[in-house]
Amino acid sequence: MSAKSTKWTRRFVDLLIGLFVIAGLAALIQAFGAYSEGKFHMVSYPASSENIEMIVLDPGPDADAFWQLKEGTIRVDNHSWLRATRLLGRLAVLGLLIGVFWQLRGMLTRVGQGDVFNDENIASLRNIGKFLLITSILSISITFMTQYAILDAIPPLEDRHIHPSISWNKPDVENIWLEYSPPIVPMLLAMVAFITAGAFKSGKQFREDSESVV
Amino acid sequence: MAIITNLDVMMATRKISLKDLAERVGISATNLSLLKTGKVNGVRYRTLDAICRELDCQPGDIFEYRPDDGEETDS
Repeated sequence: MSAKSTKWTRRFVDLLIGLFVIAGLAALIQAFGAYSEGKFHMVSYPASSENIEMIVLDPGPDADAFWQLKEGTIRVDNHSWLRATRLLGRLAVLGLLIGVFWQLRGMLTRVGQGDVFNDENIASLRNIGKFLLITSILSISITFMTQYAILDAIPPLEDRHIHPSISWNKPDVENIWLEYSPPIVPMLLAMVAFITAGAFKSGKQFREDSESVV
Repeated sequence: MAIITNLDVMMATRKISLKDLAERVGISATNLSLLKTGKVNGVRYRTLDAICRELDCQPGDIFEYRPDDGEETDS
């Protein structure tokens, strides 16, 4: 990697760190705004129904424009503890992601100086893997905690059944699922980081073996 | 290190300077000096081949195994 491209990549990483800091501040400002408006006790969560309601936008025999109603949010009130926990979780995830980029920044600096296969870079890659893994576990834990707290707060319904993300549908009722996309990409990246750390360790051993050989 | 380098002895026997031998072998005088003083971790077959060719000797004439103090030999 040339010094110029390393410099630009480092600047890009700096920008990403800045964006994550801004995202953290935005989350805090949003929470403060909700608190000052007396809405901090409300927790909203995205959900989708299996019944897609189609509203025709151009009534007539050749109608071809529709308003599709499938997704919405489920809200529970008087759950300040849940909102606070989710906020802390989000800040922790942002902190961990800043940690990932900080490790990457240090690694890029060393690589730019021509120092590739060394203990510091191996440690950085392992830390990146650990941070991404903790981020994924935290995301899954907080999501499931939120989903079960919401389900616990909702009274039994006759014609609807609200499911957590992993659940079977029920017959003769409208099934509504709380949505969640598992953090597959961070988990894959964590695996890649651990594998790359192993490769760097082998590279370091190879470098040490080949050093001082005439 | 239990491996002793007798390169200086062989060079003196063949009356060849470090600089000349380095040029003929195709490595730097610094590296040859490090080899002569035993401050290297390894020697390439290519380098050993060139040294033996230039000094007209066997690898055993250049390197010698001498057990360290306290190290037991198999025999």
